Amino acid sequence: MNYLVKIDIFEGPFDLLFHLIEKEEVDIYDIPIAKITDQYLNYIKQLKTLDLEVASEFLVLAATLLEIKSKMLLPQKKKISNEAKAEDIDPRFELVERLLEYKMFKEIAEILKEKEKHRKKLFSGNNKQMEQIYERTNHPLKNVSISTLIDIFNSLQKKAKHNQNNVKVVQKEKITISKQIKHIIKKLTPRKILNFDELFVKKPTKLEKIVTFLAVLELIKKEKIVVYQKKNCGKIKILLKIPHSKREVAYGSR
Amino acid sequence: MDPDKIAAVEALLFASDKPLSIDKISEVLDTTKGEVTDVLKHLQTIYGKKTRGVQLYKIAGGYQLLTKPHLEKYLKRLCTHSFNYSLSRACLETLAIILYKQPITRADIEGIRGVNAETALKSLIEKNLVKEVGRLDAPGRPILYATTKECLNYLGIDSLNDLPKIDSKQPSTASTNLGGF
Repeated sequence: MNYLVKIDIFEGPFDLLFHLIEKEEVDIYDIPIAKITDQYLNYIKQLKTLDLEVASEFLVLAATLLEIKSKMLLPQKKKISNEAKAEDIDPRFELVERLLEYKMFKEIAEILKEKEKHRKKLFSGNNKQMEQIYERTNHPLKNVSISTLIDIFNSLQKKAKHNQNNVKVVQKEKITISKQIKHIIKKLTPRKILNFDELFVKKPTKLEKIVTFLAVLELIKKEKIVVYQKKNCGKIKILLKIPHSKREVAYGSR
Repeated sequence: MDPDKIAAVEALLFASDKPLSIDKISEVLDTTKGEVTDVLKHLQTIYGKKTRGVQLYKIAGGYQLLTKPHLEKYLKRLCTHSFNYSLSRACLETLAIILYKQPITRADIEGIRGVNAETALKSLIEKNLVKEVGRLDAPGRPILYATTKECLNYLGIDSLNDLPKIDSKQPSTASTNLGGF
């Protein structure tokens, strides 16, 4: 992807505009707006497929350029008096001001880079402070470029699209907790005591096991059954709890 | 000059992991600032000799013993840490703006650069080169950012005055001034 490489070079819209102006070798105070705007727009057309915040930043300046261009095409309403300042007559004035300010900081950044480079040549007996600054930069994504991430994102999207054509119908669960509760009671009533395993006729699915276990928990809560386990990972025994009224019958009243 | 004082100042500078101010040294040694200044000057001439590997640098408002630049190649071989790291262009530009316009809000930084400065700011704060210094009394009370002492150390400068002068009202002349720097 060719355009990605190009984006990497520029630190934003001003940087790009600056590059174009320098490439054309024109006076910054007398920018040929029509020409530069065309070049600028040509460049950001390549951004089209990259719908990110970055693109919007470039578009803001594109709009500004077009506004200036249209203003310059319109004839001046009043005849300019000799006292009029540059900012009153030239629609480019504000842009130039901003560009120059940006240029200044861009140059200072270069100076800072030199200072940083020079400072790094000096070592102190105890380099902890500087080391901290370096160590904090061990970012896990340090060597991953934005283009790599975009490539990954694109391939994921392709995959997602592919998966859309491959729709599977999810079956509705046949096992429910209430069903399993009835099942447990039914099985337990004649025998009074059961192993948890014995609740299943054939080899249960994971879901069946889970739902059945939840049903057991529910029955414990409702005090319908008692459950015990002799040792860890041992067999789970389930006992039917006899309701109070029936218990009296079973054991006989005093 | 008291030889013990000279030795003591050297010891302090040697043991410290950050620049020491004259105030701090005079406080620790219980002596006058004038005497400390004299000792520092004396040390500076000693270290100036070709046979010495360290020099006394005035950094971030204090003094620090650092190795001489031309010895870098040997020290690099000794160092287990990789010192190849340097700030990205986005970070450098953001730092440049903060250095000159501090305290400044993120919005103002972005206004000058024309791009989002969130990542760059975050990275600078993480490295302790920039910190929050309060909020602007304006709608939304935006956070104000300024550079730290570590930032001066990182750039190897004594104070903000050591940066090239700019005239914010006339950026065009400022940029030509910078050319000669």
